[in-house]
Amino acid sequence: MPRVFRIMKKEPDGLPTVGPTSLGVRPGVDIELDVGNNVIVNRKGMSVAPNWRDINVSRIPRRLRSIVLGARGSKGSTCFRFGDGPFQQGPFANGLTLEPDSAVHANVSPAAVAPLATYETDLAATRQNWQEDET
Amino acid sequence: MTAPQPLPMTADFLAMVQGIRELHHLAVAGNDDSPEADVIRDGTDKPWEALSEAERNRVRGLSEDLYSLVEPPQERQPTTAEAEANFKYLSEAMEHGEWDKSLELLRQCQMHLDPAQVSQLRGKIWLDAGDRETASLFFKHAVELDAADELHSALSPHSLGITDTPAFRK
Repeated sequence: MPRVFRIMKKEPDGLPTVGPTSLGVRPGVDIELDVGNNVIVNRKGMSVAPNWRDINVSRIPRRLRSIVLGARGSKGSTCFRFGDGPFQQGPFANGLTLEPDSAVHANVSPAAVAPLATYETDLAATRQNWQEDET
Repeated sequence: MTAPQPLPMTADFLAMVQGIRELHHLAVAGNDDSPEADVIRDGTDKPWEALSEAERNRVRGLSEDLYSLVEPPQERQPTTAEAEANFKYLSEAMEHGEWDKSLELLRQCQMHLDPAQVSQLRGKIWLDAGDRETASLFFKHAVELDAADELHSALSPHSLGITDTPAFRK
């Protein structure tokens, strides 16, 4: 599985919150849907990065300012890491692929056309594989 | 020698800077962990992805510098030979319109300067770089610190005619 980072809200069990702006996507923003409410496969999806330092500075928790200049994210957010493989196009998890669009950004996309609910379920199913990593 | 030029600012860069300024204003009000702040962060994701690494570094630096407007000033340190050299390089960089280098050098030697002067200089750099709105935040801070030296007077928001910006009206 590719090694990626995403900044998300954390639940009391130490794992990411499942939801549109955490472990999930915002329809119309992160993904596009067809008339049947299926996710269009166009390399869009849940945004991730090969290193949390590359993520939008307004997302990086401000407690990490000593590492990333200007970090301005919510104190309620946490940097999570998934996987340990190379940051390259390919399978990510069941029903999901990693689609890099630059050296510092990729989307976790549906591997094939799927109902939105299926895509969301596939993303949520990765929850156990994310772990906090702010090193 | 050609006159210093403003920074080229893309729509994505301007959107990102506006988001950082809005988050700064929310931080001033103690609302930087509010749902409103999260909405602003959501709106900066796409602009961030479109920025070059130089633009990202500029935004990171601006965000860091804006913290100086709300945090207690650092204790001023005695001037060193290295600081003197940096003052000279800073002056040259500003004269040549090297805005990113100017902001970085100012960050490196800010602990040797009066906090009001630091904000004046940041305001001057951002003004000359072409962002009046950001400049006005730093000029306003300099005024609040009540610096009364000649440079301050010359660079005051009133004398520069930028008191009509929203940030200055706050």
